[in-house]
Amino acid sequence: MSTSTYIDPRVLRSLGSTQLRARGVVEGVIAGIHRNPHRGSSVEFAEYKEYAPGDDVRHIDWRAFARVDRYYVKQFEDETNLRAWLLLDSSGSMGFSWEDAPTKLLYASTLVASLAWLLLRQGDAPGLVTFREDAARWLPPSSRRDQLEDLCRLLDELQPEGGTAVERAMARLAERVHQRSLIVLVSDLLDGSDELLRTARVLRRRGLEVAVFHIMDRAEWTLPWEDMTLFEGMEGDGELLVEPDGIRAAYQRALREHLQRIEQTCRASDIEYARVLTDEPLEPVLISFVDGRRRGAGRRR
Amino acid sequence: MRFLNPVMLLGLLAVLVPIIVHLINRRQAARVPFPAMVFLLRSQEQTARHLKLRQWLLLAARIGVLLLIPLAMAQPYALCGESGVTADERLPAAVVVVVDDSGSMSWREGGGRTLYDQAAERATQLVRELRSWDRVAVIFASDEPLVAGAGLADDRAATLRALRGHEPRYGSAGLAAALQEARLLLLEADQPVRRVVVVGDDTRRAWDLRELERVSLDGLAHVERVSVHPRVYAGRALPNLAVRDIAWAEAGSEPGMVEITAEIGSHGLEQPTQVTVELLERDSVVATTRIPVEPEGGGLAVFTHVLEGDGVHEITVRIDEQTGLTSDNARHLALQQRRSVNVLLVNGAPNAVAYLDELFYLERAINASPEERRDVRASTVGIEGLARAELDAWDVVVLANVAHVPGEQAAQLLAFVEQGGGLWLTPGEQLDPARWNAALGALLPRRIRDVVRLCEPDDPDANIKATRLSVFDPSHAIFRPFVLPGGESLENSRVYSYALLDPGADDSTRTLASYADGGPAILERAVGRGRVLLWTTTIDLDWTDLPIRTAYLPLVSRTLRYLARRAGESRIALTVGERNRIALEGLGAEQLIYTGPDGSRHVMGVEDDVARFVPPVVGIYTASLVVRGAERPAPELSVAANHPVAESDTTPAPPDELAAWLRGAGAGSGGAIADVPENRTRTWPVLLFIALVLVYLESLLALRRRLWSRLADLFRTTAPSDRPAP
Repeated sequence: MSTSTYIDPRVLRSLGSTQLRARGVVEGVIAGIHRNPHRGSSVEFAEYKEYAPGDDVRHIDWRAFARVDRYYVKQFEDETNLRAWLLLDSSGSMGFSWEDAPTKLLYASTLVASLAWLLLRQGDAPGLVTFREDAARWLPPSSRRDQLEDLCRLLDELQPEGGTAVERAMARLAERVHQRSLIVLVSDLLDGSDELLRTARVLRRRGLEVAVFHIMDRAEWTLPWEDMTLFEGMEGDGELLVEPDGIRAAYQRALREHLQRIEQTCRASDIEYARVLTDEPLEPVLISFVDGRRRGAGRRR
Repeated sequence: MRFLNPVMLLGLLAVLVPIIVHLINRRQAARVPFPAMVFLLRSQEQTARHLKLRQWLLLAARIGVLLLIPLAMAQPYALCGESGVTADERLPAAVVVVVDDSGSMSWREGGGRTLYDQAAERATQLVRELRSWDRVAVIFASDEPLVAGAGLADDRAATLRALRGHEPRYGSAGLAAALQEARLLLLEADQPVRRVVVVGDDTRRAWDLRELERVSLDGLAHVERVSVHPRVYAGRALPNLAVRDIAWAEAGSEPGMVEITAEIGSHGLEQPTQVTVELLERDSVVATTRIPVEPEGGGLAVFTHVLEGDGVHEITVRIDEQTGLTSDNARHLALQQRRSVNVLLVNGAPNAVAYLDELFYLERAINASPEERRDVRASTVGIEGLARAELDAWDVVVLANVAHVPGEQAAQLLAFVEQGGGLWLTPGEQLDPARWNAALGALLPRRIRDVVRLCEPDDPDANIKATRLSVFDPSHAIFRPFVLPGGESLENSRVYSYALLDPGADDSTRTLASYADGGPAILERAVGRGRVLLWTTTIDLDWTDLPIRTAYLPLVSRTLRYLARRAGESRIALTVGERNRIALEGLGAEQLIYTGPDGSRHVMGVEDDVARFVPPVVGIYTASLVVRGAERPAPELSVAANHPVAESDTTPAPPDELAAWLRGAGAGSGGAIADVPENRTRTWPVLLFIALVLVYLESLLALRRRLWSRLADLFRTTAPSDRPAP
């Protein structure tokens, strides 16, 4: 799929509300995925179960009966029953942007909304949890028709401020989520990542699917400033007057170590991990995520 | 620490600039809200030490530069101990060494080294002690200053060669001219320190303060004095004997016989001494005498010598002295013997009757013998002929009984005598005292008052009434024959009348003979280079019977020869180092060549019949002329060059006056000589050097990261990744 059909992230801001932005992204995604989506396509055959009285006789697999002369019914993954918790970090650091790139929060909001749209489209129930240090907002998963609208409204009202408290949100989520669910964490993972990842591993061990979208602005890596610059922490974590030239190498070294640790932890815990830069189109990220989930679903069958 | 320009310390306020700039930068620094502060802070901690060190170094370098530059401009200095090296002694210097090579520097003691040798050694040592960045020039101060080489130079070896190879000229001291020359050299120097070092003796002739007062160094340089005056004679004249003067005169009736008189002077002697004086002709000792010499006085050595043969006779009078100036121990004379004396006889009372003619007896005396006729060539004219005569062609003019000399002829006679001619005046009946006094007042030994008539020649009592020549100076050349054994006596002559003279005292006039009654008989007056002899009685029998006495002939002969100075001529002795004008009128010479006593040839061009010659060494110089391209000997132009007499005086200059001049010579803003020298160590060059190093360091530190990153980019083969990748 040509990337020219993707929305340039630099114009996301000008597209209006989150819902509108998500619409544009989803259309690109839909156009990019390999299989045409259809209703119920998210209903996937999962396994056979020997027939017991009361089972739906419509699901008896007659081919299997012909082979083994026994009655088996098909069990399906009822993805409309998949509850997807979309956790969005709305701390102060998510308000960062450099030059024309959108803020990390706007980019993440668009990603979350797009994800929710895709999930609803395939019959899943997306929910939203926005968290920061001093507040969290919950929108329980639902497949209601107006769920997306509610979700996007919540996203529109978000302001990046305060510190990060993602580990607390994950912990609360872990208490509430018992059935099979998908946990999607969208954050810049700048703080509390150790605790967060520990919680994510716990959730994973409980059978929950966990995916992490690691949002970064390119400038956070390249540190493009040359002259003496006063860096002010966006979450009240101090300030530093420094010539970036003098610390760029050490900074990138430290950041690289942080990114490596996160990625390795995710990989080792079978947590899907995607690092996204805010100046890159969202569509390939989502396409990759969707395809990845499909392949993963096949393996799970 | 003290400062020469403390106002520059205000520049220290500039050190606030980097602090203010830092504050401004902080305020104006781009403020960037940044999310990953934890990593920034962590990396800043990791690099803090290096960053801080670099930043501190940068700050220190910048503050250091801003502190050091105004500090250096304030010219700080520290006073160190007396034994410390002053800043003036460390800074590059232009040094002019003035070495006195005048005559007084030839002094030595006991045959040892001369003062010049010691001065040359001190000067050599001084030049060797200079630093490699100093420039030096050497000036020899004698007569005209002689700058060795090309003046101020870095080439130490060339300067030392010039010092070693220089032969002292032993001329007249010329410190004033040498200091002026030094001043000109130092004006062109761009070294911060300028010094003049005078190496020489302490004689007042060398340090003539009247001449030195005209020298102004305008504070241009320090003036230092290195004295080679022997300490044992501190404040005193150095003992020295000198041949101050040499003179000659014809002596006796023997042809070629001359009397040579040498004046021996002394300085610094504490007691009388006996001095051996030698007379040499052409380096051969022909006579020796021993004379006493008084302290601060002198003595006369008189020699009688016969000059044999024609041509130039090289006469030298020499003393043997172990301690003293070597250059004044001999004096030379170039004597050219010319036998014939040209005499112009002016007859004031001609008479057709021969024996009544005024010049009858004089002419007979002149032509008495073939020898006399050869040696004395006379020509007789009347007073009218005197007007037409070219006096330069004559050696002696005799005015015999001339009534009056017109003013024009009187002036010519005066010039004639002043240029060395001889004038013999004899009165007679034509004598008009008033007119003589008016016309010949500048020539007469004494003014004529009247005529004393004692008696007539034919008076029977003339033997009683007449007077006689009674008293005469036996040492005078004209009376020599009368003192020799068997000599004729002058006292036999009778004088009947004579001219009475006014009394007078004049150093140039002396009475050679007097009458028995006290009246002056023969008087002499030196006028210029010539002489005037006045007989107060007649040359004929009018007032005396001397012409018929046997004493008449020798007296006339001696008188004429005595008056004829230019007959036996010696060129006026030249002084070593002085520029002399040699007249060559009528010779058609293109060049004048002098061959010196050392065999050196000195060729001078002739312009307007004049050549100029500066004899470099003491001795006889024989001459030759180049006429129409051909060289021919010119013995008549031979000269003697002698040591400048003034240099024989070894009296030291007054030390207080000399010290006062030295203090004043270098005073001023440029080269102050303080009474109490301050040893200052100037530190500003060091401060400036450190500031330069800090500027370089600051530039290096400020550019390091960008420079290296730019350099790294040049060598990078792939574009740097700007995507975070593990």
